[in-house]
Amino acid sequence: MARPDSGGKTFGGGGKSFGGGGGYGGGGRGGDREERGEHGDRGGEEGGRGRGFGRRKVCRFCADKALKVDYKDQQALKYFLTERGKIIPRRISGNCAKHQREIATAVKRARMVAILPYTAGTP
Amino acid sequence: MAEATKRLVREYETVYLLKADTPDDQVEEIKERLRGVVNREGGKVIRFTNQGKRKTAFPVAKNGRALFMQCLYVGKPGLVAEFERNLRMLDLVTKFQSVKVAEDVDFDARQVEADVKIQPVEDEVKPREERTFGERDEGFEPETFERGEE
Repeated sequence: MARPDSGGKTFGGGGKSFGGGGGYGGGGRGGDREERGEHGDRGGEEGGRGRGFGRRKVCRFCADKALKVDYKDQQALKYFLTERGKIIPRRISGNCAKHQREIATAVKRARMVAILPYTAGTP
Repeated sequence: MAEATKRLVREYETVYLLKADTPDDQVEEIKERLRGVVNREGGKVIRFTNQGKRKTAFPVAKNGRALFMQCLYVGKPGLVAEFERNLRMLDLVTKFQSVKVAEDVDFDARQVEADVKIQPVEDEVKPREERTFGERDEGFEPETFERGEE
């Protein structure tokens, strides 16, 4: 239990053991922040199975009922695109499944009428 | 029965792109021609929206700009095919797309609106700070989000 690597395994093993891992980390290696640091920037601030850390994102369209997905609104759709013109995944944008589907359809429609690019630039 | 008296139709929206150098009278001519098509097929045009000359996301007909027109109309499904067939015949029309907006619209209750002309919005590049999750989207790779299972 006192060995750092075994502790790391239990921490990585799943969210269930997270509380125990935190207790361990406080004694052994200075907290789970460093444990997370080992994963480098792969996890990011809300990546992975992070429950409880990071900000819980809310679907913009569920939060604001008046907001409608419109394929002609370039500015609104740009929010859901990367620089390259790819659709930003749901886990990043925080959309609910229903609205993400609507966004995806809207983006594809907008592409067909040249409002949005299929692909943009080369970095 | 109430349904027997009501005439239920569908509402469609067609966006079509004209060549950027189309003169205004030609734009009007196409509008009237399409209005004629819709009326002939037993539908009615709700409104035409001229969205102005805008930059396209990619060159359309070897031109980086196009005149965006939007037509909202109600009618039977066969109307769309006829509408699009007419668009295809016009050389000035470079692109078009029809979308169903609503179903079971009451034909008589749907009011016809005046044609709208929107001034084109020049899309200025917005600063990146306005995007809340923008800090990660460049150089986005799927691996970025994988968690090590170690």
